[in-house]
Amino acid sequence: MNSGMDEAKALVQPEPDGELLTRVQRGDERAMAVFFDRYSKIVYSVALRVLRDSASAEDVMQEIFMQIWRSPNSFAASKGALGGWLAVMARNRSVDMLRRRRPSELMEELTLATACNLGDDAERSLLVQRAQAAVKLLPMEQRKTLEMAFFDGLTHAEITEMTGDSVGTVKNRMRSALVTLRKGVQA
Amino acid sequence: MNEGNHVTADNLYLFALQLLPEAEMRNAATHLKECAVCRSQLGEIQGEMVIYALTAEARTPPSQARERLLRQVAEEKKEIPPEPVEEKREPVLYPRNSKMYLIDTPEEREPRRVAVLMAWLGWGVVACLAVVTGMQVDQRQMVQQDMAVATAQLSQSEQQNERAQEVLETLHDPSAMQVALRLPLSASAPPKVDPEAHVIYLARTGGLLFLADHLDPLQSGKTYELWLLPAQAGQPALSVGLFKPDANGNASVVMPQLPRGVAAKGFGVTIEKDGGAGSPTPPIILAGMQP
Ligand SMILES: [Zn+2]
Repeated sequence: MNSGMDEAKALVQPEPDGELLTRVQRGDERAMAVFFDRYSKIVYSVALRVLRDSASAEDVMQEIFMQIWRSPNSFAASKGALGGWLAVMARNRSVDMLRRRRPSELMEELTLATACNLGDDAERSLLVQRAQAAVKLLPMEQRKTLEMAFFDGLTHAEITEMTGDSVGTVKNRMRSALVTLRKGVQA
Repeated sequence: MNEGNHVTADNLYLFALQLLPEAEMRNAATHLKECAVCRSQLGEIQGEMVIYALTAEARTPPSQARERLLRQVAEEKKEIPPEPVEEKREPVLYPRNSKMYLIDTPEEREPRRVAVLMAWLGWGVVACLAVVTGMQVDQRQMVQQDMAVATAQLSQSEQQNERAQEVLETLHDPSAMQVALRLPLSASAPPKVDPEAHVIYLARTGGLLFLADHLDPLQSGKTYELWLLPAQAGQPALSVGLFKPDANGNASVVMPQLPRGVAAKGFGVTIEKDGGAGSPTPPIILAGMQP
């Protein structure tokens, strides 16, 4: 028999993503409502940042969540990283839309390595704070290059054209910026 | 795998960001399928992308987006595969404040009923079903999600919305009292299926949810009446509300107008004349007390 404490804890503990996915596999529509409540803000924020248009961002978000509904199995491998994966998908799909190209299927393999659970509000807000602080510490050129590539969806060739920097420099800055961010957040 | 063919670090970044030309994207993808080393590096890069993605200014999606998603989800219903034979027993959660009565067995639970009922009975009954299914963790969460949907749908009417909020508050408040009502222990020869009921009561706000099932039909001119038995000695029983079961023996009382702050030691159900009584008329059909 559980102790009273366990019972109380069980009542407030959110259902893990994996269990929600199992429910989606069984066709449980209510599990989708939970996913939406858990991750819509992240997905929408990223999509809106790239697309700068709320209707388009909503479309991207809709498609991403529908993909969970249609093929939950393809998300099963995300383990604890579903939220992170959805954030990356939001960025990639938004850039696809920006560039008016079909969503790439090459990125569907889940490889994401992250230990953070973005479904947990406290964990996420701590991570957001650290990430924002780490971005502020980046050298301005790195920060600008990363922003152009990640949020504005510009290719390195386009960035090269706009900034006059060499391709090597652009690649290098993007890479250094992301590595610095990871280390900054981990520290 | 031929190590000489590893994707260069620069290209892995460009691949992750989908910035390589199409042909190179394909080549890299082919290699990644077979190379665990590159895959693990890609995973790290994607982890970095998540961190950067989080720096996007947080914005809440438009309120209709949730409804839109759930609508499309409902439109693309799935063929539901049969439940696995050996179904895992969910842990049964006993009412926190009442150890007197056992909660019904898992076999009796019908989670799908929630969705069906919601369609034609509305949110009030759903709220009450939460009381019944609330004893089981998973189902309680499911019902809370339903409640969230129902609450969102109710937002057109502010008054209704306020009421739904009260229901949610009562449901979620950890200090809410939960009582299972059964045939009094003295009752002999129980009928085929015992009537039973559950109450969640939050004294602070006067919020109360009650759901009963397997109730016997009433004679005409009669009604069931739910009573709150105050914890304070000498206080008379307080009428919570009147209810009549439907054809299936189900009934509910949702958020009746109760005074705030009345501590309860238990609840009881009696049969009274239509219009109710000033005080409970014996016998008490169902009763549940806090230990
Ligand atoms: Zn490799």
